[in-house]
Amino acid sequence: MISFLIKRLLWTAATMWVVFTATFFLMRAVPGGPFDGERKLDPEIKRNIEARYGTNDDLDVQYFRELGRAVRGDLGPSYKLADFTVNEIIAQGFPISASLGTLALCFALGLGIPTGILAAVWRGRGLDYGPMTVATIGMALPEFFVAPLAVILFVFLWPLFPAAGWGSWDQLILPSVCLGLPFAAYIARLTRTGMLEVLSQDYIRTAYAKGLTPTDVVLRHAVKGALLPVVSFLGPATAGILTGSLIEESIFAIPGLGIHFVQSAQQRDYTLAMGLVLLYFLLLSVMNLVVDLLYKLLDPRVKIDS
Amino acid sequence: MANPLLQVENLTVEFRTDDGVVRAVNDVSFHVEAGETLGVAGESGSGKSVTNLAMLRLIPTPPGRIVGGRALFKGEDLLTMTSERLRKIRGRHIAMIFQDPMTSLNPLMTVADQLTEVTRLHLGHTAKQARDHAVTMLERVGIPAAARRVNDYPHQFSGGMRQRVMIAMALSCKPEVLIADEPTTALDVTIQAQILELIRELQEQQGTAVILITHDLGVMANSCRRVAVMYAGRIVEEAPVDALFYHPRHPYTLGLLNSRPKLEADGSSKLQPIAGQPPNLADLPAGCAFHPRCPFAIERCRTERPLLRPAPTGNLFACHVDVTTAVPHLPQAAEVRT
Repeated sequence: MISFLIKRLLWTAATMWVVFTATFFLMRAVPGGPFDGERKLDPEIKRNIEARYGTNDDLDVQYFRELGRAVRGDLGPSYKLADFTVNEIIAQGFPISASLGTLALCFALGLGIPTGILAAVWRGRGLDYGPMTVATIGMALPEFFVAPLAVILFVFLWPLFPAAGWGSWDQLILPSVCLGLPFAAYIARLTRTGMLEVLSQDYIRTAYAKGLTPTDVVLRHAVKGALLPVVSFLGPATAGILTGSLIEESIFAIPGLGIHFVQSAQQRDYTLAMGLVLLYFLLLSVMNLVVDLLYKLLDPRVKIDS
Repeated sequence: MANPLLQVENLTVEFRTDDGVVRAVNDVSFHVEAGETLGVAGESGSGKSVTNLAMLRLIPTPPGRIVGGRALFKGEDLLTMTSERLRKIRGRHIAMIFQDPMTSLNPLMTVADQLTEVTRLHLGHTAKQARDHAVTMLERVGIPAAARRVNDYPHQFSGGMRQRVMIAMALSCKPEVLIADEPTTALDVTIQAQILELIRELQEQQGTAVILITHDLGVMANSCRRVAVMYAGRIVEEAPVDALFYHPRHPYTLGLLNSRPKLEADGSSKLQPIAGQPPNLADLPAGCAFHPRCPFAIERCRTERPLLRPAPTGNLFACHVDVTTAVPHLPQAAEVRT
């Protein structure tokens, strides 16, 4: 177990270095730089700015400087958001995106898993087709459709929630539900598929032959196995949902990280883009580790030491 | 024979398939008395498993459907009683073990959890009692270091050991009837004998009646008192075990006996397989379902289905022909095949 964790840690570090390197050179391979704008800067001013941020140095000098900084956990100053370091931007936005994401995820799990289980148990009946049709539609509808629709319904027609903003609990509900809905739909479908697979197993017949009630058979014998596909989906999904959504955060005016992912790349904010990529990758690695450990917990046949 | 422990009457089970409605079990009747062993033999698809699953309403519905018949356990019809009542009988009074111990045990639960849930459910054991009972049962089925192994998961046991666990689980509430559906088919030959011996031992200790479903006639000969032979969803012959082996009356039984490998001193005897294939249940031949493969078939077999009739040796058989005197010819199926 310990050796497994150490091995994983080393792998993550190595992969992180690869990600760092690829991001560094890819960003700079794209035409344009952080200080090119529509209005040409005075050459003197531009030279001063570049000297300050060191973007005029040779690439290898920049690479090793930034790598050295990143290893110490300092992601440097943002090139576009003056007076902010990347660490500060992440420290401000990430908790917001992460709490929104966590809520959305709880909502998605709480809705998706029971729906999937019930749909599988009532396979081929109205209680299967109904929710599964909704789930398919829910997966197909884009966020920029669902979120405004929710605003029209629950802000204007039936004013339950405030339209936007961040700070009080009632502002959390609409965005997290909108963010979680497609995940709920996907989780419901995964759970249903997993459940149907498990319910056709011989050991389910054994469980019935023992005289267990259908409820006991489903809850004690079937659910655990049915959740395995959901767990593997949750790893990458969690990393994605915690780092925020551009659309959701724009529509509901939430000061999260989502917007920075897009803007930093568009504006060639090298350091901020790098910081976000590394953050996302770190989360992904951690979540994948959690998934592996959960797998081990759910399925005793899984060996993680190899 | 006034009050058999378990009496199945005219059981008929259908399955809806892409080829139409298939009658997997057709008007099957048999009975089991306390403590005895009934063998049910037949090829794959002859309906022997479905008969027994249907009795406990364990076939998936849909596509399956019990069309008719009764299954009386101590006078109560298993097919019409409430689900609650049936659940009190499943696992408590009638228990089952299945063919493949690899897939019949839940891989995600410890053996202890799977064993204790039956006794806690039916015998009202506390957690402690159930656990002790589980260990006792594992010891009785011959699992070494049972007190420690009870915490293991099924994948940590070998195939034979897993079937022992299944048996321990099935017998832990001392059921009156044990249905063993090909309990040794998935196991090594050496393990097979041990498992059968174990079932017999426990049967004697607890007075359990056993329905042993198998296609292995050797197993039958050793363990059963009576044998029912099924073909295409019907019982075609039922007889005391000796009568069946020494005086088979149905050509299909005869075919099964002839298609077993024999040890002859000169090594000359060749296997005589039954010609043709088992019939498609969705499209059964008219008359006797076996007639296209039957070396004794006469004109009457093509049109008229034979009913079960008694023979002086104690057999019940469904055939128009007296195989003890008739002369075999090449069956229709064999002509077509060659």
